[in-house]
Amino acid sequence: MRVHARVAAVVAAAIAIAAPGIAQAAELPRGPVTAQTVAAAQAEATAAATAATEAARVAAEAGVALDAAKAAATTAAATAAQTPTPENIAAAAAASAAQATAQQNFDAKTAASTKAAADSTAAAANASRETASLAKVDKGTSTEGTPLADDTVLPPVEKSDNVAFVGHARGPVAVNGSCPAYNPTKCPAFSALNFLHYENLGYDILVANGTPGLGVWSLKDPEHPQYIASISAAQIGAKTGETLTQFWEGENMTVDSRRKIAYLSKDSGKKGIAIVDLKDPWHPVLVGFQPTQLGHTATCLNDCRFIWQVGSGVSQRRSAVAVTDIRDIEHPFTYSNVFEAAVRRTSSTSGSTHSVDVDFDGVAWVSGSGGARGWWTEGLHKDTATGAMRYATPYDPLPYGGGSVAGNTGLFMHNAYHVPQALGDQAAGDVMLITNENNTTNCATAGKFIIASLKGTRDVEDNLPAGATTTPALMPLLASYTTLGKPGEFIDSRRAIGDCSAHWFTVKGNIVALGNYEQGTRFIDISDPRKPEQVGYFRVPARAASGSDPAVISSNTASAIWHGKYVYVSDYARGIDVVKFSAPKGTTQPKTCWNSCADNQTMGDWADTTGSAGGSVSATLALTLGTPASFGAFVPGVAREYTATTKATVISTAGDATLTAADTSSTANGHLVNGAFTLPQPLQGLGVVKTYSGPVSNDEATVTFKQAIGAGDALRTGSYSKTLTFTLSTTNP
Amino acid sequence: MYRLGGAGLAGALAALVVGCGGGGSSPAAPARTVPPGGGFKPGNVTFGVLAPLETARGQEVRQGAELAAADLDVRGGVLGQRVKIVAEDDGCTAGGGEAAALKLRAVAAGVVGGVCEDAAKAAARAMDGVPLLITSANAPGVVSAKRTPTAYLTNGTPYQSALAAVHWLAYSRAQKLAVLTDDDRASAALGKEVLGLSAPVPKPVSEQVVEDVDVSVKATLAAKPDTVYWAGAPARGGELLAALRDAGFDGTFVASAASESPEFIAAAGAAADGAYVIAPASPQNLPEAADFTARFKAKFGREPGSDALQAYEGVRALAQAVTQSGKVEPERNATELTQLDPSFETLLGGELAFASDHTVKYDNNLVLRVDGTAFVVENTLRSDG
Repeated sequence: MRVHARVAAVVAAAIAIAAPGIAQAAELPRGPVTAQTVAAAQAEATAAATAATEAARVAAEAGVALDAAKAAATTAAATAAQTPTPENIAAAAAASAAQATAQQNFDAKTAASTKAAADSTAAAANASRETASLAKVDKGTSTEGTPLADDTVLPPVEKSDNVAFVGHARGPVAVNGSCPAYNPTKCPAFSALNFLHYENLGYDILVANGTPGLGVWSLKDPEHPQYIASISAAQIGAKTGETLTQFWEGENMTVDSRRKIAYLSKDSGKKGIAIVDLKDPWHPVLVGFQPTQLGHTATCLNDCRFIWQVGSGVSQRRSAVAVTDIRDIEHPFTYSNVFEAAVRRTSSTSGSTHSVDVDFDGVAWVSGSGGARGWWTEGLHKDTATGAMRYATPYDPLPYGGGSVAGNTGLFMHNAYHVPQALGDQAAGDVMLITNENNTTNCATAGKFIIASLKGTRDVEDNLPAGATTTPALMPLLASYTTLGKPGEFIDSRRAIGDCSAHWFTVKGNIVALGNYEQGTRFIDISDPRKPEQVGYFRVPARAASGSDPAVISSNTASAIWHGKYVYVSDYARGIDVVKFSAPKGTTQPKTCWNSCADNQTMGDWADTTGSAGGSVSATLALTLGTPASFGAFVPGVAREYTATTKATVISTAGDATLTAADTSSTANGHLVNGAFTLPQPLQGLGVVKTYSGPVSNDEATVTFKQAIGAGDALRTGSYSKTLTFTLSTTNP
Repeated sequence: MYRLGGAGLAGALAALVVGCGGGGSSPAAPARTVPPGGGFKPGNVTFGVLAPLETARGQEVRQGAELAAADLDVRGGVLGQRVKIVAEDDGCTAGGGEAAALKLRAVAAGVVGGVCEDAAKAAARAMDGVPLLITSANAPGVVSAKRTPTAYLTNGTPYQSALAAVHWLAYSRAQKLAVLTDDDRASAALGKEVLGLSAPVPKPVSEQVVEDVDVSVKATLAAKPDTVYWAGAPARGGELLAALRDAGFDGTFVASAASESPEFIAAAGAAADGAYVIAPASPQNLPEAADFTARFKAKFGREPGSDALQAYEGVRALAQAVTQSGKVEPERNATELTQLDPSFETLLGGELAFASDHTVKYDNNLVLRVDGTAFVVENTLRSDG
């Protein structure tokens, strides 16, 4: 039996004295806008304006001094010309030299003044823009609407013991028919789904797009999505100027969870992005349609100020990427020139691009024919083409790493994930997970799940050539996985084996949830990246109607997405299935990064049993906490690191156990908060606290937290705190 | 990806597709078309012109609309009826605008015009459901979804002018930007807007109001920009550019619409070559408007200006909305105006669409490049496919 004990605790209530000072703002705008970044931007604007005024005054003074020096030099020269005594000549020379000095001083002060003026204007505009941007960050409606009827039947399934089938939803059906059992082309085919967090409601909304358009579900009960709204294919067609009976395809759907906007990427017919305002998810508003060159998938970049889209349809380009400035969704701007991601690092222009996935460092990974390659889209980095440092932009990015995988250079790479944590013998940040898509019922040759290493393929570190090469650096292959011969393999005597190709996947801890078309959903443990191991599976088999039982449509899995305690499976025939996986491995990341990074969404902790700590939870695991940790008073303007501790008392009869502390909140995850204000430095001490290799009784583990306060960190009067979740878990009860 | 079986699109509409960045073909002299039944139906479809008719610009608006009406009639009119233009003088005042709107809404299926901001604003609020395309005035406050539900701007706003410059800076891969302006409100505001919208890249390295060109050049070069943006008067801009080049600046020079002028080229001399100007499309700078210009000259004996071209395009759009509606019915016509068929293209080769704030979604700003002594279109900045 696997059990967990969980206790919540409040950490570090610290009183800060009001004296904000002037924050040293990071280069803005980078990363998500928050009340903190707005305050910092405003402080920076004030300081910059003061500095500009002072610089202008100094330059004016220098100008006056220069005028005086010029006048003096003119007079001295005239005197020397009229009466050329050695004294007068010397005086003229001295005056001329003084004028030259004054000129230099004036030039320098003027240059400094113009720079200060530019800084001031930029800072003021930035503060204004950050404020406006934050205003668009919307916590969503507070009022729930009326749900719609939906199919929520849970048929018998084929699964491993560590998977539970807990929910199903179908949502909107395609306009051109209902959902007969054996005609999956007429059912809602959802290629992708995503989530938006609603701070005012306190729960998430699920969105999925596919043949019927967009479906919207409430996740107030996350096991049982409640269908609440849709945007139809016909509505989208009214914006594109087409008569659409179905929308296609919208894979790897991207959303701006903070501003409550969904972007549906369309590549059938007119290519582009449909923009949906979801501030009130019960009443979504189709804002417009932006035509672009590529429409297979779309990904938000740079806090969703830009979108990259990929797909097929642009020829004679090395891995084309369409770039759209989406800061103003009423006036989006798509650059007429596509960016060439050159995933193979060669001159080849064949094939297409398929996905863009942003990693935890903000690198955008473009997958497509032949490889997967990461690009910086913001910040100052080395341009390997020139050797100079420059700023990356979504229109003119800079290479980070990646390329083709050794022994697999001809494969179509579907999507990629840059693993942030260390795995096995691979250092943190070295492992790449990539799916290859190849639709066939021959599982030996169908698209596989690939694990590669980035070693030797980082552009700057490994001094790689900037342009195309006939002998490009290749990512070493660590391992690959297919469903061939694995538990849960689907072999249908009428149709031979089901489509085996790997497809969209997400990662939680060390467990990959992988969509595998008709082979359903597979769970893969990548703790040893050289030996990935299937540890779970889920598939819905087809079943004919019988008596009062309706027909069941079998799995044709598009994607498997970890979210909170569950995996949401978007299916090309069934709608959406909700499963729960109960064999956790590895530590979850503090924020979610697949497709784009969403700072207000967390992957959540591993599933736990119901019950309270030490109470209804089995007696084999018990966890109690001591007095909440407190840092005392933070002193603003003084750089210092504060330490606080608390005690955790553990009783465990399990073969092993792990005690972790995590911040599971969606607000300023990993940081202490004081109302709308967040400490800029993260709280240290989260993650694994202690591990046990056997049973223990009343073991006292000291939990130590550290909080750094920088001299320039702005502090707000009041208490900074955060509720943390401590989890005691075992895989060996 | 997953290939879904079955057709997803009903190809009921034959759309004329034009690629991104490419202009549509100029509306050549329309072929004579005999209306069905051998003649026009009785009556007219009337479109209104609201403008300061005593001024040159007001006359431009009227004449542009009249040329559009004539061209439509050559093609058989609208819904088989001749097109009539009725013009009312708004006197460039709010009161005049409202009065003119009250008269026009009683007789017109749609109205174009609005040169003066106050008159346009008042007229927009008085249209009572009749579509109004404000084809000249471009202050964003003139229209709103709430106060002017059927009035829209077709001219890009000053914000859109700045945004167009920013998009060109991205195309140009600018990394460090110096902004120079005149000592007047509009110039300074535009400079600040461009500088602010540019962030985070290009980085602003210098901002100044030019009083002494030599001083400004020195200060600018000291900041080592790779791009200079000028938002002031043309002659000063040309002088500045020449001085910058003389001092060794070999980066990109971009100027605002005011520098689309012979004064700029004259003042800059040889240095003007290769400079960029961000300006709205006009009969003078848009090759696709050549036929329009020729017909305008033939009819009215002089060169058309931007107001004439905008009004011409406005009447075309209103006519399309009525055609799509199948009848003259203000509410229906206003709705169709917001969802014009993709086959309807502006002279810039793209669609006419509106944002939810009733400004034009894809504005008419172009990037011009000085080639010798002429301005040529470098990029149409189209973003609608």
